[in-house]
Amino acid sequence: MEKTYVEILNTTLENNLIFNAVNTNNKKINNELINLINYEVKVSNQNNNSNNINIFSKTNFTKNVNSKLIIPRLDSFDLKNYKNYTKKTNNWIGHINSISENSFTAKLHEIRDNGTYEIAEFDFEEISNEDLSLIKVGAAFYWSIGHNVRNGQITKESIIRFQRLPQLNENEFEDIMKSVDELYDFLSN
Amino acid sequence: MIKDYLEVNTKSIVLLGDFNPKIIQPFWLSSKNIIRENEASNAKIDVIHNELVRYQIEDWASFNITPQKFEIRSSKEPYFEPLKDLVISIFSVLKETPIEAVGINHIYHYSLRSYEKYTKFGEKLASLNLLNDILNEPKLLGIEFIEKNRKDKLKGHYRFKIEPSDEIDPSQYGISININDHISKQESKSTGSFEIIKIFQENWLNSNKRAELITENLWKKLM
Repeated sequence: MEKTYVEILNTTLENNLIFNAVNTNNKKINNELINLINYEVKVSNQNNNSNNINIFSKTNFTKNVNSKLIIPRLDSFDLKNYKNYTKKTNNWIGHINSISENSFTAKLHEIRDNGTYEIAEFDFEEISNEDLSLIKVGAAFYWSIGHNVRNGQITKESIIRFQRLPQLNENEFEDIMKSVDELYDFLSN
Repeated sequence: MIKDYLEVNTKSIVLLGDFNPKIIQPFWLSSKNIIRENEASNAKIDVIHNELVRYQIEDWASFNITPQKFEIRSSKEPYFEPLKDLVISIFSVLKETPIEAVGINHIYHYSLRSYEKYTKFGEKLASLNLLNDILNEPKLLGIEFIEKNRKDKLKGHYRFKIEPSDEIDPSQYGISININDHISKQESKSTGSFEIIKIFQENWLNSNKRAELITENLWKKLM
């Protein structure tokens, strides 16, 4: 069965992408259309008339292989249109000192100031479910308190997010240990 | 202090190199435990294609990746450190990716709230009096500075641009200061992402502190 896919030619204005419409049986490329589902697709024919079409109904442009499609984004997250930001926040990095049944205590440093620190206790209830598995002695997390502004509406927020950095695999660990040994030998001689 | 007038604070981290955009998708990030699984499921996908990948993770990180450029951006201060971690994590996994340079962009939008402050800021920044006999009531629309040889001796440059803000409501007299801290690869023979990611990691804190210092000093000198 003949299928249709689109091929990106260029980006134009912030909200537009230009595509070529092409006929193909290539399944792999056709799958990429799934990611474009949030677009309203317009096709311009040679008479410069625009028609709205559903990208999956596609019968319109199988006949016009060289049609240009202009695809405006329907739900843009561009900052200019979508005002969602935080202001006046205090930010700390915490390291877990000890863990009890329902809470943990941590040493907190202000992110931009390595000087003084504070100790605070956090209930597990304050932690997102997907971060619970990261709670370990020594684990690092970020804690912020501030104001969130979403399209003019201001709310107070406290956010805790555990640090996610990739774990070393065995080979990488061995490589690092090897270079540490070499450095130690170099400094000892 | 200028930070009392700060309304929107945006960080954008840009890497220049040779990327494969299609790899860096939300589910790939969660499979590597770099983001939460529910963040991957709820990612707002704009486009995923060989040549262009653009999406947003919840409301805190926007990705824009082409074969030449990787950009990640946020306007949420609580997530600036996780944003840095994302970059380090992604390219610790994709360590063969050749990266030539990193740009840490600090974009501040201030709401000066009064016409007097707004015009005073512009008048002090540029000697508008020089133009009084050439133009009728001259006003400053933008100004840009560059430090070609970086203070820290690293290869790269440091530039900042001041202009009226397009984020702030005009009634609030907004200005924006956009600081671009650009560092290039220091060792021409190094390959992969290691060198630039190390430079990025080591300079992140200083870059943030310097940007804040510059804006505060500028404010003190002008106002």
